[in-house]
Amino acid sequence: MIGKTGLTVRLGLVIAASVVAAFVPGLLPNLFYVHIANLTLLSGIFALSLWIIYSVGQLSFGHAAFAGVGAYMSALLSMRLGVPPAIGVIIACLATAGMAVLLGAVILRLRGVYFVLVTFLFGQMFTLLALNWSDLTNGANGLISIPAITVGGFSFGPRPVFFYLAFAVFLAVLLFAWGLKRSTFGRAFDSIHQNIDLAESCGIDTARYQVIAFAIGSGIAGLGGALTAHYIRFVSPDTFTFHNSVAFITMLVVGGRSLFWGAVIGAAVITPLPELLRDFEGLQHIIYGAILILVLRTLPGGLISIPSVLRRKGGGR
Amino acid sequence: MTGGLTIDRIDVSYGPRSALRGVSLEVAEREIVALIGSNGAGKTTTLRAIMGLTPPDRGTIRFEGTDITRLAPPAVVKLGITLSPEGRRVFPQMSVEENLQLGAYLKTDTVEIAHTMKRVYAYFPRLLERRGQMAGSLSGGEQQMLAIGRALMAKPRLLLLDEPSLGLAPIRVQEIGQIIREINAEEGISIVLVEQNANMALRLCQRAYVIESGAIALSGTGAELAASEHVRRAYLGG
Repeated sequence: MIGKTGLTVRLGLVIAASVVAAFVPGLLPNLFYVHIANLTLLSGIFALSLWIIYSVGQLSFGHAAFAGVGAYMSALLSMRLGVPPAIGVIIACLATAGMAVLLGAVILRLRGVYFVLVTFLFGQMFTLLALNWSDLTNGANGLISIPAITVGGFSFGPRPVFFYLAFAVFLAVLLFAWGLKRSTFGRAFDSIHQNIDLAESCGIDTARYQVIAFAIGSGIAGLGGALTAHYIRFVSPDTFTFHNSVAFITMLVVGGRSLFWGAVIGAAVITPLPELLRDFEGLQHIIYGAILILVLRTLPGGLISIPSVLRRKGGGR
Repeated sequence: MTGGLTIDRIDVSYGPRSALRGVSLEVAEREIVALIGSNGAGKTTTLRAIMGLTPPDRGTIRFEGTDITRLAPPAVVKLGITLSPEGRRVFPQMSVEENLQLGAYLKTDTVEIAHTMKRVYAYFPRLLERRGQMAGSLSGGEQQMLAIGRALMAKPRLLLLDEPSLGLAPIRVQEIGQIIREINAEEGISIVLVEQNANMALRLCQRAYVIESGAIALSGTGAELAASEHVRRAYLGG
């Protein structure tokens, strides 16, 4: 529990970050960096949404598939049915959440490694469907020339402009996750994460809360996927694969899983990596794996635990 | 019998592995019933079946006339049964008070919750001293108190206690035993006491069951079982 002052400090941080963010596109040396900043914000959305699922003690290995479903759905709605992308992304968000409710009601009875396996299979199914349902998805070629998001004739297509949209959505998701954590839902989520049998013995409907968390997390992933599709203007079966799911998990672990700030920090650290590692094409995933093992071995609480680790060492306890 | 708990010939299995076979058990109103047996005999499984955590394949469980065999845990709690589990008994990263509040999760009347919490603190003054402390940092005995206190917060009419003496120093075992007796007498709560410590359990209870490899082997009053040759040899070390 954080007190009144903690609340003010955190709100202040959010406002300060927003002010700084306002100048970011202008300060970055070229469009490539703006692009990286945009991808980082989108990753932040994905990592936060995965954190929400993790906060009830489940680890989804198919998170990218939900992003992919949102991406295809919003893209197809705008290209085939002429739905404005600004509305399409919201439909994609809700529909993905609805799909997660159906899936979650069935698979959330599974715990631990079994849940992980089924979410992994769900991810693979999505990739196969995207590849083979060519009439709808255009197969391996993917969907090209996806329209950008426009609101009242104003286009969020250009990279520096999209930055503000991505930042606004990221901030909204961040505040939502924070509010969720502090609500009575958050208390129930915590109790399920810490001791699911005990939570159930207290009369908490753990299955219901796990489905809710799974739906919220997956819905936000669908929203993020839809935003990505209208930003990159292209989506294919390769856009959201198992490797992306692993990358999202890596962000959580590297940043720190215990608090949602960890997801944000993990996204900020991990997202630029593929661009920096361009020259090591093919080795990227090995490097991801190495980072994961290194962090789990030496800093299991992730980067956000560094202050407390230092304090413990410095305090001589 | 309308009041109390009646378990009628239940079978419970974990996948292909059978854990309970034809277990029947009765707990009258305001009674303390002990369930003793060795590790893996099926004691915890019996409690899990009552709570709805591991529903039985066959047989019925009735509480105060209601069939609860297939009810999910929240519904069972709502009817007035709570469990203080063995092993991981508390929410480690929450304060003592937050743990207690979660025990009253299904209660909405804040005045009643505050009143119940006061009573719990009266039984366990140590918890009041540590109310702001993280439950994970409490000693084993304190965590046991918290687990019982948490279970009381739901104002149950039947309390299931799984190994309350496990890992405690002999003096603490006596303390806990005394409190269990007080709770039973003052609150009028029926108690199922699952124990490996047969000595303590047989002294506290009115009636007891001995469970061996998933089936009830013996039953009787606490004194009868304490005098039985079989129980003395197998469970009382004499």
